[in-house]
Amino acid sequence: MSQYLAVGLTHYLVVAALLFGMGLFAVITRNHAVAVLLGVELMLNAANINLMAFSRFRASAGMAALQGQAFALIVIALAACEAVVGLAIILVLYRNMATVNPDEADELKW
Amino acid sequence: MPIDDLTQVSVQLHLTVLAILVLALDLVIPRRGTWGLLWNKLPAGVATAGLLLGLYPVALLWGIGPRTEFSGCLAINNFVLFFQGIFLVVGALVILLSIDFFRNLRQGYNEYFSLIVFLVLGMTVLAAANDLVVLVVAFELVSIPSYVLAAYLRRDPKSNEAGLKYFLYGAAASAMMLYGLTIVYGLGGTTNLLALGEKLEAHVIAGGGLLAPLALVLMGVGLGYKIAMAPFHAWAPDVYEGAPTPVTTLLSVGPKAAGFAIVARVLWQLGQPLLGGWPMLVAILATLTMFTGNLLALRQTNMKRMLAYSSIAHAGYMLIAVVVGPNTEWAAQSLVFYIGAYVLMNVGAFAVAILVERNAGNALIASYDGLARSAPLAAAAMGIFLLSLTGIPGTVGFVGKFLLFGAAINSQTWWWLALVGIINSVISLYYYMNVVRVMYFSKARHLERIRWSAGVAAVICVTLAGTLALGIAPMPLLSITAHASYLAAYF
Repeated sequence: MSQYLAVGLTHYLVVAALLFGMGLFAVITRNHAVAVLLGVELMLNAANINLMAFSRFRASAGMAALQGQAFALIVIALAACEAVVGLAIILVLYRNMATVNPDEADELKW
Repeated sequence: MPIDDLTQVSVQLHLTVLAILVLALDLVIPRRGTWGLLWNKLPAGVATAGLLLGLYPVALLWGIGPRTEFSGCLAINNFVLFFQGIFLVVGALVILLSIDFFRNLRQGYNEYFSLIVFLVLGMTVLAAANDLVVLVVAFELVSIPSYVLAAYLRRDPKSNEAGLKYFLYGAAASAMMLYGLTIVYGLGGTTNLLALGEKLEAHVIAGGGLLAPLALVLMGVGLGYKIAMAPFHAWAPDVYEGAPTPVTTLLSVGPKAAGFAIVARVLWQLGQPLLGGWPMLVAILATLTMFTGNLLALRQTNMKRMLAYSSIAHAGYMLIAVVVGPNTEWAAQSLVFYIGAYVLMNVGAFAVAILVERNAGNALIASYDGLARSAPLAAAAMGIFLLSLTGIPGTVGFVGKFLLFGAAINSQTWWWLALVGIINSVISLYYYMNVVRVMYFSKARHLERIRWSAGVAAVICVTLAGTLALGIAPMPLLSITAHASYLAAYF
């Protein structure tokens, strides 16, 4: 295989960094709570790509390589838990205030 | 796995069983009819007794010596055990404060106590985490129940909003922390904190790069959010005001203390290899946190919001010990002592706030008008808690600040942090004493008389006794915290 076709660690890290940046951008700019939650999911998946890439390319053989993969699986489970609780809170807020825009939920102000 | 390992996590096992037991009791006991009284009282009682009983395994593990268990996943040493003891006491005190507060809740009365126990479980794991995976799982085990608890009054829009804000800030912050941790894993090639320290040293000697500081900053976002450090404190006032007050009490001491346990352990082990100048960075943030908390507290008219800004300021004081920390055992001791003192005085102040809020129907400072005449005992207790939060001699808050600022001056490099802390204590005197002025010197009288509840009275008695007794004779807590500062020698 010619050299410039080989996909290495850097490629994965760049993809993950782009994904993380897009997620962060969504979190900062979106004014819909579900869209913010989607942005957070993008950030978590960026972390997962990082974990998989590092465990494939960087870690020495054996235990250390598995750590990254187990870490990624656990992060997927945690992301699901967080989404469940988040959507439940968004739903309750919508019932009471008929909005899911964090900027419009402004009962609390200094 | 040898069975001996299980005794090393007996605190966590105990709490897991307890949380499930409380949930099961709620399901098994009939809610209506003759069993109704039992349904109302038993789960809360079991949770309180169980949390206090958890101090027994903590005491058994105390002093055996620093070690790691479960393939190096959990660190067990006196520093960690001291924090675990504090979490158990905080959980029990918060349940006592909640029993009367949530009495009229139509749904989910007993689940509330189970959630508190799960949260305490999360904090005990977070303080002991010695592996990045365990750290992340424990972080979420603390965060997820606290989102639910902040939004627990389902029909109250303020509580919903508090839950949503806490969730959105928290989810984003923990995702950033996770991204930082994956970079740390990539640089070190392992998830074990102890091993990472050595691996990262090798990485730095080999040239380093920009990734390591980036990882530290990303981790700082997540952990800084948990301890309400400026500039990641913006959620705190809104969440503290909107959440049910017993939950606010818990959030202001529990996750903050757990956050400090893990901030100290992570920074003292990984700070140096990741970013050599981290103490300066944290010192600047500590200064920013103290000024932000104290200056914004000056203008508050709502007691819960004022205490929120005050708790941000106290995070700033505690960060002084984290900065000085790795060099001296004195700093590690002052950190654990200050957290113990802060738990006593802050839970006490919130207990009086809950009492007044239940009687007045709101948390405005105006409701404290003439409290000294309608409830002299409550007003005196509040006065003492506020004096202690300021750091007036004779209270435990003074001893805590004395140790903290003493550690900073003793380190010589960081003497100016003590100066900043003293200036901030003077600023804080203004808004704390404003409440005392309202209680004692106001002509108006907002409340005619106060109806006490047993749980709140018990919490005020315990915290008041602790604040005064340890303020006048701090030796018992000093000797315990001296044993809890082994950490500096260990790593």
